[in-house]
Amino acid sequence: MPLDRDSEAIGGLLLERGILTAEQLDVAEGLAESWNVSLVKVLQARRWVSSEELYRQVAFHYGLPLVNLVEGRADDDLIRRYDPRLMNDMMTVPIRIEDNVITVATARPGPATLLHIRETYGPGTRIVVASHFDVSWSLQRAFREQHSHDAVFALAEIDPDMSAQSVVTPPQILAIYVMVSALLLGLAFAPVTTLIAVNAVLTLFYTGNFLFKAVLVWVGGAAQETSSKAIAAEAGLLRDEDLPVYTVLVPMFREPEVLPILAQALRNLDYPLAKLDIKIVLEEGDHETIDAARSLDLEAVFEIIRVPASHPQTKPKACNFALRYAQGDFLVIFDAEDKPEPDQLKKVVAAFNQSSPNTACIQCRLNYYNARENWLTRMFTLDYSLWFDLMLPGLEKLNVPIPLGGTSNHFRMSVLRELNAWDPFNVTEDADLGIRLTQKGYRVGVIDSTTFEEANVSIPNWIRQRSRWIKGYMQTFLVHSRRPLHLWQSVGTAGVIGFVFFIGGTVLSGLLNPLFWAIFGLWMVLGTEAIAPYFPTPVLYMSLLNLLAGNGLLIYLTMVAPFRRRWTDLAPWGITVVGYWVLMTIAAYKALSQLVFNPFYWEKTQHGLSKHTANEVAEASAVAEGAQ
Amino acid sequence: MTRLTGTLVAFVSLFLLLLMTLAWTEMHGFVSARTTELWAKAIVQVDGPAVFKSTEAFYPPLPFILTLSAQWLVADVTPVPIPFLLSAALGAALLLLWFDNLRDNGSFTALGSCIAVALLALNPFFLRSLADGPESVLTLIGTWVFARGLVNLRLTGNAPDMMKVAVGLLIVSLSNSYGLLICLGAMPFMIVAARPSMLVASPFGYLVSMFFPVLVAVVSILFVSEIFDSNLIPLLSEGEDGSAEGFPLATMLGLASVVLVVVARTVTAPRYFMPLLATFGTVLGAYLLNAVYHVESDPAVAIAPMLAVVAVAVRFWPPLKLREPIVAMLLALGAVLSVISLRVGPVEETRAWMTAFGGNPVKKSILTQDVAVFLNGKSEIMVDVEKNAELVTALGRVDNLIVAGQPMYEMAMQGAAPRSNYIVVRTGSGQTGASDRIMRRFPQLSYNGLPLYEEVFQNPEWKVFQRVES
Repeated sequence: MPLDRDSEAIGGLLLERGILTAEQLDVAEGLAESWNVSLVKVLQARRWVSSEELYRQVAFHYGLPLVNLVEGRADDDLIRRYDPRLMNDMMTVPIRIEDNVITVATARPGPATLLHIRETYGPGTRIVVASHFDVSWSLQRAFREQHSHDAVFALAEIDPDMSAQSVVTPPQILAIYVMVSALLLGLAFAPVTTLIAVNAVLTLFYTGNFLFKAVLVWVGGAAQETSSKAIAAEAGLLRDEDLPVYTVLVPMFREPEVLPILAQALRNLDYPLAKLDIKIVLEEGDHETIDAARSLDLEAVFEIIRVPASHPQTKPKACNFALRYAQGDFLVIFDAEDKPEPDQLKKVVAAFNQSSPNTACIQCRLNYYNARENWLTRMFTLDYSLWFDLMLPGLEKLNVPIPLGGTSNHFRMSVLRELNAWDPFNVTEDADLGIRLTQKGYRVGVIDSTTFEEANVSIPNWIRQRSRWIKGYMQTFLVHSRRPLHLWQSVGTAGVIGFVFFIGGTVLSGLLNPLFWAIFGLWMVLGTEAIAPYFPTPVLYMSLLNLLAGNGLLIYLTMVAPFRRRWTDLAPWGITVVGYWVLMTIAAYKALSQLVFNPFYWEKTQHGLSKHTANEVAEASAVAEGAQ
Repeated sequence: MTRLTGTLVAFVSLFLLLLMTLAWTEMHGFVSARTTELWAKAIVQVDGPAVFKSTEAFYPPLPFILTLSAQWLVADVTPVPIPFLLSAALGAALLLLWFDNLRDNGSFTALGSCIAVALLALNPFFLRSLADGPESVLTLIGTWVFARGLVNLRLTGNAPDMMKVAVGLLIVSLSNSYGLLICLGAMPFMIVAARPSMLVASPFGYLVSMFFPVLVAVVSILFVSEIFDSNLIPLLSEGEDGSAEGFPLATMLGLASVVLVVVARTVTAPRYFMPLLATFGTVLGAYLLNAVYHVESDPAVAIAPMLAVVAVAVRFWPPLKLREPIVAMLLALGAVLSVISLRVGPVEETRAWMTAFGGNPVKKSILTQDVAVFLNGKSEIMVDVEKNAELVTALGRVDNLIVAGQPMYEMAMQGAAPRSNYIVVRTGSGQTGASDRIMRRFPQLSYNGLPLYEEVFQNPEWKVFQRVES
């Protein structure tokens, strides 16, 4: 697309005043044309001109005054009279009213904005220029309380059945009470029969669980080859000028050390930087990370969103808050230490183009860049390879609700807003949102593009992280099983079975494993006579099947998992997965305890412990210093 | 007609056709030892007393489970031996899978696929496997799944193909002790078939993953055998069949030569050639190992899995104009060569099958039939059912038998005088004195009988003793 007149003029002005060199202007104009954005946008994606200088020249070009909204604060009451979404989208904000004349500051002066200002604020409006940062900061300050409240309570107030604010509902309490009573009565009056019945149910559950996982791997392994090629082909053909604006949310908490890696990873994306709306989402009190982000002197496309302190202090709450200031057509969440494959965003755009209109989310695969650091990272890699490379494509193929993974889930912005985004009371808000999307009639797709993360290298840290995930799965199971009929009607029989085994199975197997291990131990030590009364022949055979074939199959699936990436050296480590199951069990009991006593507590995972990350930080910091 | 209906019609037709071939040989007196044993075990387990205590391991588990299930489901509605039904059903399913594979994946025409599958089905090694029982048909299926997975794994590297290789090896190892030799035979050839990219990172990891299911299966079988206190090892090897007149290599030449031609045709495309060569090498390796270890006593049954390799290999014949006529001619030639190689000194059972298939009666079974007729209507007959399976199938019922686990049987075994009305032992050429528990306990039954018992029936194979009141 040819450069617009304003961009040409601003470019000439910057060159004339020696703010840009001729080479820089050539490059910037070339990018503006190929990306189909204004020159100002391109310059915000480069560090050639300071933001202050750029807006000074923009104001000069339009003949408007430049205001500093940090020093001369806008009237918050006045701002609150208008629609925050619209102000955010148009980058305008009313700053004062004098003699019935409203002064409106804008970071995007031009004909379209002028029209918008006339329509919204009336014809007698005074227009001034303010930087993008100043406008956004004024909005965040004015709507601080309202957006903070909405970020926490919007879902619970509008759609309470879908919120984990109530851990269990009264009908669920009644159901649990009835089941526990029936069990106790059974144990009192017919103990052996009751134990046999419980044993039979649990044994059947185990059998279903491992068979379901085998089916997922079988289906998932074959599912994606054709569609992956089609998506990759279309992604390669996409033109930068046609690409939509993409919001990237990066929630962080006390992780200043990984900021340089993050910035570099996002710069490495094969996507026009001027079309990225990057929000680094930080807690208001996290001065350490805020200061580190400021000191990096990042491009203007990186914006820091400061989330007011409130409870629960969770990642979904922070994301909900930041969502109010997002400007993209699509949105993705990355963790601070994530390294997405460069073409990921383009592949997602291609996948959305090729998917049905009800596709609301595309989940990319996650894996680890420090897979071979120690036993735990190897097991974690096998776990993720099985989950993301084989099982999630299987779920997609079988139309089973997909619990989204922690990051690299890409949303259509409109749907995300319609559903009130993430549940801040759920500590695996992403998994919950995946199920909620399906229940609301939307589809979740899975594509072959990987984001590499840092695998946990420390067992205590891993247990903390996993206990949060399992607690979140417990919350998700409780939320979506509140209305079983509705669940069945919205996701179908296969969906319900998948939901029970994939979400419920993950939780229950962790909790039940020690029980069965203890029975196996008793059997080996005391002999068959000790367990025979509780294991009639059919149950015994089924238990043997679970013990030998079930465990064998689950170990084998773990070994199969890395083959897709040709990581055959990791496969034999799958034999040691039993040790990993023990850790999962510990995490499951920790999760259960927290669900009862501290359900909304966000168990923070410490990142940056890996040697690889330390090296990456050193390299990225050196690059950042060099660039400055 | 929908595809599902068409498949069902084809399955039922094939099932009936294959069942007819089994009925034909049975009509002429041939029922394989494996079929007899499997059916007898199923009859005793399902219809026998709950206290029946088997001394033999639950091996091979896959055909055993299938036969037990079928016996439980349909024994009351059909007099047809359950293993026959299973063999025919599994055989029909396999032929349909071959057809489907040629038609859908190999892009053969419907007619070309039909002719190819018909020629494979008419191959005497396929019919011999069918008559041998579900164990051999399952071995054929497992080999086909393994071979298909191995070729596809080289082509795609997908998890399901890796699982096919493992599932194939698992099927053969759980269906037949000879399957364990196939697994052993596969070991060196896995490397030949592997995608180079899989070997680059770790050949050890690749091999461990491929053989893990087999390892688990073997360990599981040993574990189950241990906890149920049953004898597994004696079941794994059949020993050398002294009745073989020819050199075992001659038996394999008929099939192996055709496979070599089909595999060699792909020599210019290593991605096909290497895995096909590996599947050929696997079955050949198992066959040669068997010549030393005699896990499978019949060379004709041992080489039959090569037919599965043929079925996989022809699907990769280059899609040239005359592909289908050439494949048909090769398979026809293979059938003829197989007939010739089968006739070169077969072991006794294969010889008997050929006799029965040719429409001539087989003598041996008449002797067991005679004793069954004699025992008809009698009760409290003490017999070692595990070592005399033929008698169980000839009787077709077990409610009149005294078997291991029942007090009368166990007391006699512990040293008390037998109290059953009748004792049946096998004394002829097929006598199992070394392992028959009754004969071991009362060796005098083979010459002058027992006190309080008189001999009431005798033929060259069997003796029946009746208790006389003191």
